[in-house]
Amino acid sequence: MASAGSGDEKAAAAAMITLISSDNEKFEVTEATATLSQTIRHMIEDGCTDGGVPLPNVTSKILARVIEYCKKHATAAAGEEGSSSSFSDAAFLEVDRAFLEELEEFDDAFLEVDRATLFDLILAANYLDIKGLLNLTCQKVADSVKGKTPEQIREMYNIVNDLTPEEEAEIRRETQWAFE
Amino acid sequence: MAPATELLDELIEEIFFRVHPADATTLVRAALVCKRWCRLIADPGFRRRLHEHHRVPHMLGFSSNIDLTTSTLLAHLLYGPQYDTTARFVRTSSCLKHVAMARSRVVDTHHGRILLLRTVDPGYGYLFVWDPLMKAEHKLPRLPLPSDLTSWNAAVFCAAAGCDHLDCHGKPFAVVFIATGKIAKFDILFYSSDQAAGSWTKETYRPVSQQHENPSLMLELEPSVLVGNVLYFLLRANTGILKYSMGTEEIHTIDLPLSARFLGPRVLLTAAEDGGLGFATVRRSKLYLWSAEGGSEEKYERWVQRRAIDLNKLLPIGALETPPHVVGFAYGVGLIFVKTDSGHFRIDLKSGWVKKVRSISGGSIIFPYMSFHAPALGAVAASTVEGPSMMGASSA
Repeated sequence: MASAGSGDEKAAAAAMITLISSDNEKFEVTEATATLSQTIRHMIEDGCTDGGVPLPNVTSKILARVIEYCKKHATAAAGEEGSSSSFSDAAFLEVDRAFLEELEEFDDAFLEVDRATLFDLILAANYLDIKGLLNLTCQKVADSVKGKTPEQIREMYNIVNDLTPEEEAEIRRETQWAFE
Repeated sequence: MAPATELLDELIEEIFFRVHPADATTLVRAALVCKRWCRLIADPGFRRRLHEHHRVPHMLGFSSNIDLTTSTLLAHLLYGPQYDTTARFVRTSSCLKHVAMARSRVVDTHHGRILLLRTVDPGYGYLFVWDPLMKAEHKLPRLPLPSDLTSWNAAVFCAAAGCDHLDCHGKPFAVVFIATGKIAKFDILFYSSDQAAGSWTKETYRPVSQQHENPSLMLELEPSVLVGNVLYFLLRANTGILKYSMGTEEIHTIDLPLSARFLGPRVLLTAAEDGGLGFATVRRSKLYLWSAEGGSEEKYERWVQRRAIDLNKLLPIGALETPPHVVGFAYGVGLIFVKTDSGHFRIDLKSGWVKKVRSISGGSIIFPYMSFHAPALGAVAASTVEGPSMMGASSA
């Protein structure tokens, strides 16, 4: 167990990338973690990561959270690649399920943030092009508006209603079924 | 500054994309939050991208027939008043309504349209196409039926050229009516909503490749399958499948595998996962999914049993005391409907998730209604009469 794959791990550990947040904080991460971001992957491929990767659109607070997400999911991605050949193996499926459950729990806990942080995470996921994180955070917002009235949604997301009463009445008249 | 306003339009769209595809209510309510959200949701481009994001239409409801007769075959061609069937539409999305239509029978559904047969008086009836989302009903002209009619089936589908069927409500549709006569021949009647004259055209065919020389081929009145430009209809008593290629206007018969033929269990035609022809059947307590493979377009080389699902592990105890039947299949989303002693169940073939379906009675076939809810969202667009000015106001 200890010997299997340790060479790969060492190789991955050797390739470290420095990410620099908008407030100039530096984060050392493995290449495997960093390349969950397509934006960073392209920078690595272009060989322009020496001296660190400046991310002027992401604060240190948000970047720390994004890295936390990427670390967890990079392990998951590595696991998937290594075991695809033994997909039919029942024991593997058992392990896989346990791991997926753990990942789901992680995601749930990860999303326990205030609304402002959630939107900042969406912006960061979009800027860094991390599909899984964008999906996770957008889904969280989509789920949060499900079954809510327009008033409740406005309150939740601090949105000012700038529709005129006439416009509102007109839409409601056309879509009465949505308010029954 | 409110955080929600900091997101670019494309990111707000990303959020809206993740609202469940059948949940039109949430999107309509979101349109009432503010001008910007309203503008985004009312935009036809957004609806287009929403459909592209989800790719497959969702099940917004299903229809079935409540039958007061055992014979479903000639009954409705003879239009006898004693053969009273009620067509029911059960919504699963709030943008639609539950509907019951007396003296009507659901025959087919494709591309968001439902084809029904309505009996008006003894001796008179007509086919009509109903689009529940557009709330539109289109009555078809009287069928020039062959005098030696022994069985029939019909199918409705979108007839718009080059349509990807992501949003084809309101576009032209076509209906194919296929009838068998006393000798082995098929009359195909074709109707297109696009024709100004609005009449049926009729052609008589003999099957090109008749593998079994059965002089009395008859059609089962069961849902057809549409794969590309080809329609498949089940033949009576599982003797085989009738294939009608609309492009080449040819008719072929296809054999079913021996285990499913003749006195075998009930067969329901399906589209296989790769988009080809397939069928589902239950034997003992196992659900079998088959797909046709290999060979040319005209003739499938072999049937392959793709999956065998043990219903004992999925359905509640007691549901399988007598053999269940496959009664419905939803294209693209992998949902299959099974009728058992304890009622109807919906099985998600991908996840194995099972849900009991209420509001169905009898042993009738279920016709899932697959569509996007674009017309429902279109109502938002229709009501935003000040569209252009709203765009200006909200871009600031």
